[in-house]
Amino acid sequence: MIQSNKLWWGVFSLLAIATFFFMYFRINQGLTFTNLNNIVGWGLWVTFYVYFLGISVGLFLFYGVCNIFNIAKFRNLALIALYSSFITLIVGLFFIFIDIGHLGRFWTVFINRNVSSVLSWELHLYVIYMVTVALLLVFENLGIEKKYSNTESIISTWCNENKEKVIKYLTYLGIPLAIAVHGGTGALFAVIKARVFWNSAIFPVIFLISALLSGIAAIIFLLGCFHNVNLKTQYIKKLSNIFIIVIVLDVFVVMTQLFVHYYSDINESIAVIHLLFYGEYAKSFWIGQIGIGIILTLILFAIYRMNTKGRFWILWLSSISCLIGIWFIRMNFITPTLSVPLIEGLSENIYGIESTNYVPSLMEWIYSLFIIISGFIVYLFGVSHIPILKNIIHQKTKKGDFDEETA
Amino acid sequence: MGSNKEPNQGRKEFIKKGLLAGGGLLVASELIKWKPMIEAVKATQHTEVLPLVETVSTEDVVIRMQKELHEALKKPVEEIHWIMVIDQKKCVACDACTVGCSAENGLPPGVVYRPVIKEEIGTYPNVSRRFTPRPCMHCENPPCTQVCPIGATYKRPDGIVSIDYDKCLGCRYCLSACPYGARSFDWGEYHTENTPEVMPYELEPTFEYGDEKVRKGNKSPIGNARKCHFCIHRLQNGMLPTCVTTCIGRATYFGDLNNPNGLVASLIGSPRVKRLKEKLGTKPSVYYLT
Repeated sequence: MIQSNKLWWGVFSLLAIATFFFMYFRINQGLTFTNLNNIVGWGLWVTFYVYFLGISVGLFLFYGVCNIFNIAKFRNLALIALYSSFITLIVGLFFIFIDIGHLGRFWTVFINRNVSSVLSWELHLYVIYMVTVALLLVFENLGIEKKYSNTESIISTWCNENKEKVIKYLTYLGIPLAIAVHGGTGALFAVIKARVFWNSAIFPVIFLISALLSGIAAIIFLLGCFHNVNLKTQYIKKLSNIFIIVIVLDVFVVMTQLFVHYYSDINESIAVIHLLFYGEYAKSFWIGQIGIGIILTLILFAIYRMNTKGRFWILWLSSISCLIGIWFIRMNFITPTLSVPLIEGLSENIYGIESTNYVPSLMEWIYSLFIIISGFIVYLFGVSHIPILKNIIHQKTKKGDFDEETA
Repeated sequence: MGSNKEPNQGRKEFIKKGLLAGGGLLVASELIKWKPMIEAVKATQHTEVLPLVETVSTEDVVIRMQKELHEALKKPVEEIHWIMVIDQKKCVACDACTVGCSAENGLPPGVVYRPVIKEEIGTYPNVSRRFTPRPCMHCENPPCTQVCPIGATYKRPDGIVSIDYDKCLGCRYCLSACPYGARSFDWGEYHTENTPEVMPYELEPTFEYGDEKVRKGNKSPIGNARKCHFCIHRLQNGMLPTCVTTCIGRATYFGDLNNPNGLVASLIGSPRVKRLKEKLGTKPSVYYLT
């Protein structure tokens, strides 16, 4: 772990320069370097936005449940979840930020509201949710280190005295907010009557269940990264039980969506399913979503459970495999739907091609990696500077023998 | 000899007279038959051709639409409802509307406000083709304005769905929400990109929505959602939309639905009329005569 502040300054300066360069390029070039077009207008970045938001919501719900039910055994893990939830939320925000056409107008969503727009509600809730998570993080840190609590202002005294109460009520607020934010993301797609495959009531539910799954998978992943949390094997088993239950739920809702649309045999939705099953997105579906996301995750999970010693690293690998699979669910439920032309022959007349297959461009991947790496660096910085996390890391005096996470 | 001739003479006379009388009777009877016909012919010579009823116009439909447009513009804007009627039987898929629109609005690659969808119907030898020009439907119940997070796209009182370029974020939610694929995003490309020079015509200003805009850098309309707007800037100046004036088959009609005597209102009272994807409840303002 990097302890020296000088080194941090160096890292952040480099990051700032790189950000400046990337943003300059993005503003000057617009979105020309992406492989997006007027048929598939949302691609990799929107997928990452939904993905990170899902992880954030899942992690926050874990924190919320642990907090409300006062589950002491998972306390440290819950605090890590809260912090990770905040960082993934910011990472997600960056993805949606670079995806829009006019970056400078982003703030106008908060002054030019449209009550009938799900996206308008979504962005407002997103910000309120982010502030709630940030406040919780601040309150959780109050009184941990003396240098933060020796100021004697009325506000700080009040905050210190009412810390527990404020955390409790903020958590009460945060849980429905988290559900609304991610349910809202699902609703964002589900309310679009133009796209039959999205236009189903189970779509927001899929998003929520996937968020729960990504949350619990991320928790197991983080548990593997923060060795010092030292959870007893029986609690890890409990976590793994929740993990498998949510996997089953997720598979169930995803299959329901696919089955209903397959059975209904409506042109537009069957076209999406054909694209997924044996069309241009078949690899992404069979290898990514089914192969890695379900089969590999379940095999690894089964090995973990059958092994009498219950080696944790196998469960850890299973959680990684699951997190990759969820990314594919997001991808497969967004772009193939857009690839299906709204009016037959439209795509040919505009682009001269029959179907529009979207493959992210190299630049889209580079930008995505840059945002993720930046988020990772900020995450590391937080881990080494935020009092509660420092406490967790340094407890039981195991010095710095943990890996980091990429969320 | 002379006496011998007499009876012969008498017989000849008799036959002659008989023939004459018979012929006369025949002609008379024929004349009796022909009389009404001759009279009928005479009668037709006196028939007067009635003038055309006032509602039937002999002038070109474009002139008529132009006049009606001027009439409509005198009304308050909220009393107008602009609609477009496209006669698919008259459309020859010449793409003049598509090209005219692109030139009028300075459209970049991939942004097409009014493509003409060409379909082949049937199997050989029973084949036919169908052409469907697809402008923005300017729905009465537009799904695109509903989803816009900042209300940058909205429905005007005269029924035109327009976009405020200076407000639009470019989130492309409306692109996903439009059931007709009528919206495009301006990615900032040029037709003459990757050539030695971007041609000056691509940097000429356009006047969509009555605002002078030059497509350059990252300025609007680059980075915005774009769509057909029934050439608002032309309407404001008393001109018909470009696609209407460039249509060589006179297949596209435009006018005010609220004028009951207008051309478009009369055209849509037909069993041939249909609107695209009506089951979605969008109530398009573009009607097709199939």
